[in-house]
Amino acid sequence: MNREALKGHLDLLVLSVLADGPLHGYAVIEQLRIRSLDVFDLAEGTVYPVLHRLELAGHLTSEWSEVAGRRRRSYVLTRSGSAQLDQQRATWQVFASSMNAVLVRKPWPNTP
Amino acid sequence: MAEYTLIRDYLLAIDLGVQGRADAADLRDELSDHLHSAVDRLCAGGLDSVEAQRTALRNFGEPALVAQLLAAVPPKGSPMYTFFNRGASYFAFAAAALWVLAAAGFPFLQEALFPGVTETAYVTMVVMLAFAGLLAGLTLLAVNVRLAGSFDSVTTIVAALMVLAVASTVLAPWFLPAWLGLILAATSITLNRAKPTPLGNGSPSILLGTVWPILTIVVVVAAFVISTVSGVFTPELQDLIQAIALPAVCLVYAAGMVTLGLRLRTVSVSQSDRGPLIQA
Repeated sequence: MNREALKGHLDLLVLSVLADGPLHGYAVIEQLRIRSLDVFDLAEGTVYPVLHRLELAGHLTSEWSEVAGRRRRSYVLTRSGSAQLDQQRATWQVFASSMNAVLVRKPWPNTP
Repeated sequence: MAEYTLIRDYLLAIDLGVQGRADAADLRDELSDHLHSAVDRLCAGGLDSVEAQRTALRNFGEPALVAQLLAAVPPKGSPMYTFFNRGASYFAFAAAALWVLAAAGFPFLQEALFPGVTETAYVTMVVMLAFAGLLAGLTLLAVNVRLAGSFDSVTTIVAALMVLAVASTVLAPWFLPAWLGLILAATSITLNRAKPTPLGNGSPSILLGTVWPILTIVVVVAAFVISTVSGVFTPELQDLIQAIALPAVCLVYAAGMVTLGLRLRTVSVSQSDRGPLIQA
């Protein structure tokens, strides 16, 4: 899928993935890929600024742990993030259903 | 942990773009964990370590772009971010309250309405206007920082205009074109920038970006005309006009500050609302 098409939807996608539980950055990207059936193929490095911005906005918190000798940062959805997810999801659903309504093919001949 | 030289070099390139940040070490550790996890996964899938590193780094993106995107988000706990974001709505509401008080105070400075205006009342009014300007300036800076993600050149211009506005208010409060003009310039620059985003569209941009500038220009020009054209307006009429017009300017600005404060409280500006977009 064209990466440009995902612009502006990354917040919603990341919040949605984290709604199922805490994940580190690599796992967030893996989940996006798996849940989109490999359609969302992101430049992985661009997801971290999104995670950091959502954390600054108070929608996520993060905690560090040690795994296989490496420091690992995991992100958790906050109550504010959950509310933000609900709001963005509702907006998206209205947008998507409106787009579908416009794009649907009408049977030919088009009778009023 | 295996030493992967390509990853090490990549992380050094990222370091150059984020050096000086308080959280530079955390960023490095986080990206390092990601890249090592990716390489481990690719090696488990049958790639040799060099090819796995190349693939992982290709998937991660150009280091210059990644570093630029990382640097655009202020560090967690950054005093500037905390100052201009968490407290921003309070600046706006406090500014609005002071502009309302200033509006209420203007009629009391008109000799025709309240003879015997004291120096104390005059100084009190000047101090109130200066603080109203200062808080409005902090609000405008907060909007700019939120939109730009940093204290960029436009934010610096707005800061300079508001510092001059506050100084003019204190030094020459009677010269409306100076301090009102400087506030008008700073406000217009900010609202013009915020207009296409959720932070400024609708009521803030209508009030502060259109109604208030027009009203202010009309009042400043009218004040200049009635004070210079002798014989047309009696002093009493001049005072009466100023007792109505200047409070109207203050009240509209206060209303605009309230709408901006509400937006600062509720709207989170996404990267896509800013200039450079994330290349997903």
